[in-house]
Amino acid sequence: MYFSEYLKFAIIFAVLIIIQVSFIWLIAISNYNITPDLVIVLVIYIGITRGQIPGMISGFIAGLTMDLLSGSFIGLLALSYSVAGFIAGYFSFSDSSKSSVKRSIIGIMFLCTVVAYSIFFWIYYQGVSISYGEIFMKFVLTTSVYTLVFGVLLILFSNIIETKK
Amino acid sequence: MKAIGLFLLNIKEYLIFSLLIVLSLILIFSNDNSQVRFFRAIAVGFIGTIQSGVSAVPNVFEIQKENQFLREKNIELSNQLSELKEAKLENIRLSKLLGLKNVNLSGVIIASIVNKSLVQARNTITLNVGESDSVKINMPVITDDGLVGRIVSTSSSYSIAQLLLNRNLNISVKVQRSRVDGILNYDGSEYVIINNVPKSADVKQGDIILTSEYSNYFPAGIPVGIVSEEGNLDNLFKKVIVKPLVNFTALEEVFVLKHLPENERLILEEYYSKK
Repeated sequence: MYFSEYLKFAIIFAVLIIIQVSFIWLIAISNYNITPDLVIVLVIYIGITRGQIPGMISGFIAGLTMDLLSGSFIGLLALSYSVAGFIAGYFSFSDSSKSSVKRSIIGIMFLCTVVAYSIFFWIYYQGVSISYGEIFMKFVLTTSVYTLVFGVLLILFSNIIETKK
Repeated sequence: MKAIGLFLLNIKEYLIFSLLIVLSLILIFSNDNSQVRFFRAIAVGFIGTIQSGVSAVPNVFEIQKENQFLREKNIELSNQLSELKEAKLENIRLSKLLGLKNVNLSGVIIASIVNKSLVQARNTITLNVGESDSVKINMPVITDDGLVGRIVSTSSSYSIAQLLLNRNLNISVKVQRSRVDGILNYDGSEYVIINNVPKSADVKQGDIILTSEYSNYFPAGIPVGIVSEEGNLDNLFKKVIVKPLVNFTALEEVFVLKHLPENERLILEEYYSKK
């Protein structure tokens, strides 16, 4: 990645983190305050399009920033986002495999968010008398599906930009 | 040597991944040290400035809801005012009879909420008061309805409070009527819970839950919630579901209590637990 690209992603991350921390509660659903995670969408996008190392590092930095702003449990989102970036980067496309990755991008995004949030919520809800199955259904799955909606919007948006080019 | 270099280059993704995992785990296990607090204070100050700017922009839907709420509250308060006037006169009369001095209420800092944050079930609020207003980490946050949470991070002009609906907040509580005590925490659902209450304990639906004397962070007697229902945890214990008294969705102004844990007690308890 070139410096201008780093700068571009840093600015997008900053905007998404501010939206995530300050405004996302406005679209929280259910009694469990399920919110989409816009930041992880970008981490996965970087992982898929730029490779494992940029995916992991951007995930770690973004997660750490979110941890600092959340006021509790520093390192947990950094860990989850790093894992998401690593998995996404595994599917990183070369030009020959671009079309097949693009076809399964929703599945990849879903896999990354489910794994990342399984780690996050499993550690976060340690010591609480709810089973992992319950945590998975109530938090992991719902957050992943809600996040996926925004992921699909990002894919559509990038497709439109590519077609215009 | 060259072969080792090539090998490391081949597995560089895995090496970096392992490094990041280890770094994350170190951070998770060193959450309360001073360096982490320092970076957190910078982050809170920065985001607080942005959020207070954004909160100045009026939200039409919120204003409509707020107007409705304020109208209802106005009627309720008018009724309460007349009752309070009566009570005040009675209080003055009885205080004179008992020779009591005025109660000191100066230990309270009034704060406005500049932002609510839901970072994956870690519910927090950002307040427009900070270290320059004498706000310190661990001070309790309340409203006239009851307990809201606890200050966890401060910068010079802003502070972040963990809400009752936050997994990281455990509170020593008791049932007002029967004095049964327990630890209250959040399991991610709509309400908060008290786990491991003995099955034989006298807890009924509608009981008021207060902070207990065992709590090191909160003064005793602050209302927390009302028992909504109780269910069995296992053969010996039951789980009590508590509905918080504070309506967190309509929260706008809070009070920060200038109450800090007693250091001597903390040190003694920590010393004993390490023995």
